[in-house]
Amino acid sequence: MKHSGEAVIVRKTIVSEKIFSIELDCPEIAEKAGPGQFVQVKIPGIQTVLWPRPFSIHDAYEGRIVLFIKKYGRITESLASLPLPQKLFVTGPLGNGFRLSSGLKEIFLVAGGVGLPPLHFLCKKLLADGTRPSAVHFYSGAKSKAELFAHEAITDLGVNYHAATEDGSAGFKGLVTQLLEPDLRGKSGLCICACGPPAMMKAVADLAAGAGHHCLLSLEQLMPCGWGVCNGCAIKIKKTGSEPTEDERGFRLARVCKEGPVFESGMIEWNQI
Amino acid sequence: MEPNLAVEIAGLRLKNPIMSASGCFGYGDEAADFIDLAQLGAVVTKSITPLPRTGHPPPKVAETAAGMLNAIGLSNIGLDAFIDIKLPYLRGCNCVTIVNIAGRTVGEYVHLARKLSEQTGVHALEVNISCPNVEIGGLEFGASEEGTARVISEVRKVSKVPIIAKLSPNVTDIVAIAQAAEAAGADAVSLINTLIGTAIDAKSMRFKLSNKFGGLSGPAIKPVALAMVYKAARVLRIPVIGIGGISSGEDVIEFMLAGAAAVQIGTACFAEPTIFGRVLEEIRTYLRQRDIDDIGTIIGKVGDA
Repeated sequence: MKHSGEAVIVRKTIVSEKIFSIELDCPEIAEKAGPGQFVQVKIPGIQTVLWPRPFSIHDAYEGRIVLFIKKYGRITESLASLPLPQKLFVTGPLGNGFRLSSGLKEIFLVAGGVGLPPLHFLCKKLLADGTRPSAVHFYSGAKSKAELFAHEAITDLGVNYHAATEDGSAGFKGLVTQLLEPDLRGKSGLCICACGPPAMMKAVADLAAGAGHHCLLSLEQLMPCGWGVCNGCAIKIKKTGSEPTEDERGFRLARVCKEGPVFESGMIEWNQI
Repeated sequence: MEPNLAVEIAGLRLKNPIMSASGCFGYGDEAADFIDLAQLGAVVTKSITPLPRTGHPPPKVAETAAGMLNAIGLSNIGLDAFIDIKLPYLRGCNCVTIVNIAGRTVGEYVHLARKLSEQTGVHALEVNISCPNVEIGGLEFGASEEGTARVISEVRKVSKVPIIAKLSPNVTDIVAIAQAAEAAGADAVSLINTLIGTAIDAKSMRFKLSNKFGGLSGPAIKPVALAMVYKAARVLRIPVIGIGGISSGEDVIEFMLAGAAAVQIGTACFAEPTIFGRVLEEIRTYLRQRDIDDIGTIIGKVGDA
C-alpha cells in the first residue's frame, strides 16, 4: 500500500530568497520512492484550498524524503513560513518515474531551476545501481547563482557537473540548453532526461529529436488527486492507433499523475504546454 | 457496544452508509493502492458510456474557494473494456458495486443498463441524468420531469438490479424531478451532482476551463446539497443518497439528519484517498458518545433551530 497520512517536517533549509527544502519523516514513502516519482502535500487545517500540491522527490534515505520547493503562491509561501515541528498530510510515492533501459553508456541529466530534484534522485540511484552508466553528465541551470542548489551533493556523487546561470553569476552565462547543445554535437543514441520550465524542456526535446537521442521529460501540472482518479491533470499526447471513441477528437489524453509525470519527449503535444 | 452502521438502500444491504461518488474514484482499482475497497458501503464507478470517451481538452479543472470546477467530459474506457478489464477486479474485491451509466439517447441508457445489469458483480446502477459537461445527453434529460421519466422508466424495464437516479441541482425544482424519477420506477435517488459554474483568469483575461463551464464541487456546495436532500427526502418514499462537500463524520451525520439514507464522498477523497476509514471512525465516535446504537435511527431526525 502507498502512504496517505501525516508526516512530520524534521528539517527545513533555506536555499535562497525563493527556494527552500524540507525533509519529511516518512519511512513508508522513503522505502518505495523511485526517481521521478512525486508526493502530494497538503497543509492540515487550510479548508479553503482543496488540492494538495505535487513535489518531486529529491532524495530518500533513512526513512526520510527531501523536497525542494519554490515560493510561487499562497500554499508554497505558507509551507516556507510554517514553524517546526509541523505535520503535513502527504500522499505517495506517486506516478511513473524515469524508466531507463539497462546497459546505458552515456546519460545526460538536464535540470532547470526547481526542476532539479527528480534528476538528483535519478543521478543518485543510477550511480548506486550495479549497472551504472559509464558516464553521467549533469547540467544545472538557474537564473542566478543564488538559485543553483544541490551542486555539492551532485559533484560529490562523482559525475560531470556543468552549471549555467542566466546572469552569469556562476558557471556558463546563458541558458542551460545553450551549454548542453555543443556537448551533444556529433553524438548519437544518447539518453537525455530533463525537468524544468516548459521552454527549456521543449528546447531539450528539439535537440534530442534532431539527433535521434532517447529523451525523457518530467512534466509538472496541478493535480486535484495525484493518484489517477480525477483526470484533471490530463494533457494531450500524440494520437496513435485509431480506437473508435464516442467523441472523436484529434488527440489522446494522458494523466500526468499516473501515466507520467515522466513522458517520452516524442509523445508530447507542445502547443498546449 | 459498537453502533450498527449498516443501512439498506433500494434493497441493497450496505455494511455502512459511505460510498464513493462517481467520477471521484475511477473504477476502484486506483484506490486499492491506499485502501481495502471492502471498507466502503459501496463503490460507485465513474460514468460508463457505450464507447470510450476522450473527454474535453485541458485545462479540465480549476481550483476555487473551498471548491473546484471540473469539465472532464465523461472520459472513460467504454462499456466493453469496463466489463472485460475493470469489473473482474471489482468482483474480486468483495465490495458492493454500483455502476454509473451515461447515455446520449434513451436507447444508449437502455443498452448500458441491459448489458451491465446482467453482469455478475454489478449490484446496482446509478443513472447519470445530470452531467453538466456534455453537449448531448446528461442534463438534457435530468433538467425536466418528462426527460427524467423517459430515461428512468425505460432503464427500469430492462435493469435486473436496483436503479438510482442521480439528480442535478441545476434545475428550478429538484423535488419535482425526484418525484418524477420515483414515479418512473427509480429505487433511490442520489443528489446532488455538481453546480454549473465558471472561473476566469483576470491576468490572462481567459476562461480557466477549455469547456468554459464546469461543475462546482467541494465544501462550497454543501449547504445547497443539504437543503436539496432535506426537501427531497421529506416527500419521497424511496431513499435519498446525499452528495455534496462531505469530508468528515459530522458532515455525514448532518446529511443523514436531513434525510439521507446513505452518502457519497467525492472531491474530498482526491486529497485524502484514505478518507473513508477516517470518516467511519468519526461516525462511530459520534454515535458512541450519544449512545446511539443504530445509525438508521437518525435519518431525517433534524430538529428546528
